[in-house]
Amino acid sequence: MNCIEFRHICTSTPKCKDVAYLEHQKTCSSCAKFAKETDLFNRYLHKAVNVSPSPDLVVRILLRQSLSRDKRSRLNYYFSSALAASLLLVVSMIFITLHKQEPALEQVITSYIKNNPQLPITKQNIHHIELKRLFASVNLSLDGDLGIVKFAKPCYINEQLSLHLILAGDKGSVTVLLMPNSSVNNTIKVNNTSLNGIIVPCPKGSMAILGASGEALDQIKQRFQNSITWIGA
Amino acid sequence: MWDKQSRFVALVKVYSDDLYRFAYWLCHDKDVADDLVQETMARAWRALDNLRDDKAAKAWLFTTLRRENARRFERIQPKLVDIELDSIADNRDDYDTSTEAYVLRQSLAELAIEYREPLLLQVLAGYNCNEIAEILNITTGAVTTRLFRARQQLRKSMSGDNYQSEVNVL
Repeated sequence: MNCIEFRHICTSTPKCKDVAYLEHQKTCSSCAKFAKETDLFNRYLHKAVNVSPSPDLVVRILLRQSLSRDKRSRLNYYFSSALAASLLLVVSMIFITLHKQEPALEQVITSYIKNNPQLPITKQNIHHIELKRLFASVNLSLDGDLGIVKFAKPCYINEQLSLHLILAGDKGSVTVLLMPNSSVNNTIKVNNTSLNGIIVPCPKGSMAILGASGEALDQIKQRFQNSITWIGA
Repeated sequence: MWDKQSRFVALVKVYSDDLYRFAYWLCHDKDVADDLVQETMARAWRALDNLRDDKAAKAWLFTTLRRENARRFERIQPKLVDIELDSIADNRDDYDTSTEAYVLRQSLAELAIEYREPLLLQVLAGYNCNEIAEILNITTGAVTTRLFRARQQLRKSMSGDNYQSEVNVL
């Protein structure tokens, strides 16, 4: 190793442990002096650049990390909770949608009847022409005889325009609700503390027939099915 | 086997001072240096699971800090102002207030970044040329040359001072 090579290594890599480098340092007094100068310079340099951070740097780093960790776990918790709540909501909505129709209509009808206990029932039969007009107003066509109708009025059931009728039955008054656009899949028997009857599926809606226990509801159903045409919306 | 938290605390305690010094000499601002170290450590925490070998942690942290410093320039173009290097000496017993140190610090601050970076990695972090080459993504030969030139420039700035008289005593 020559002096130029030695000094280059000494300047760039002061702690070089290369055998040839160390050997040259021992044998060349000029380069040995250069190495000492470099060492002194490096000590100066090391002292000069030795700036200290603020004493609480470590504490602040750990605090920030701790806050970020807490925030992340909080976010994870919120996200998981939100996800669980959303899933529950979706499942509930699906469940409600699937199971809504039949029991809901029965409940709606029960509620409607309870809310309209006193209706102005006429002593005479409502005229057929008047009935035809009322049926037409709810998209139904009356083509036959329904028997003695004491009350007839359009109403809203399940937010759908419907027709409320009260007929004279063998055991007392019979309520018939004609509900276009409120459909049921099968005939539902209504038999609770306040009502007795059936809800029957029709071509474009449904029909509820409610009367006293022992009333021949099937005959009335048959009569209505034969006398009405469901036009639809 | 250490858990993540223990590993992180160990990293912070061992390396934050060296990282701070490196950051300070990159940006010449103690507050920015502080932020750089904190941001570096925040990134380190997020990516700690990816660090398989703890021996590689030091180089990983220095590389992260360099990138973080580079990002600073991507975000904003910092205003260039005259720096008061000795402002950091406030209330610090370990800060060398000699004329030589002052001159050296001024010269170091004026040194081009491509010379300053390898020199700081060697002097502050104790890396050898191969390790510096890896961190800076340049060849070992280039590192050697840069270190040589960096020291040459700094030594020139020291000529004529007390340092020179001490040298002459040798």
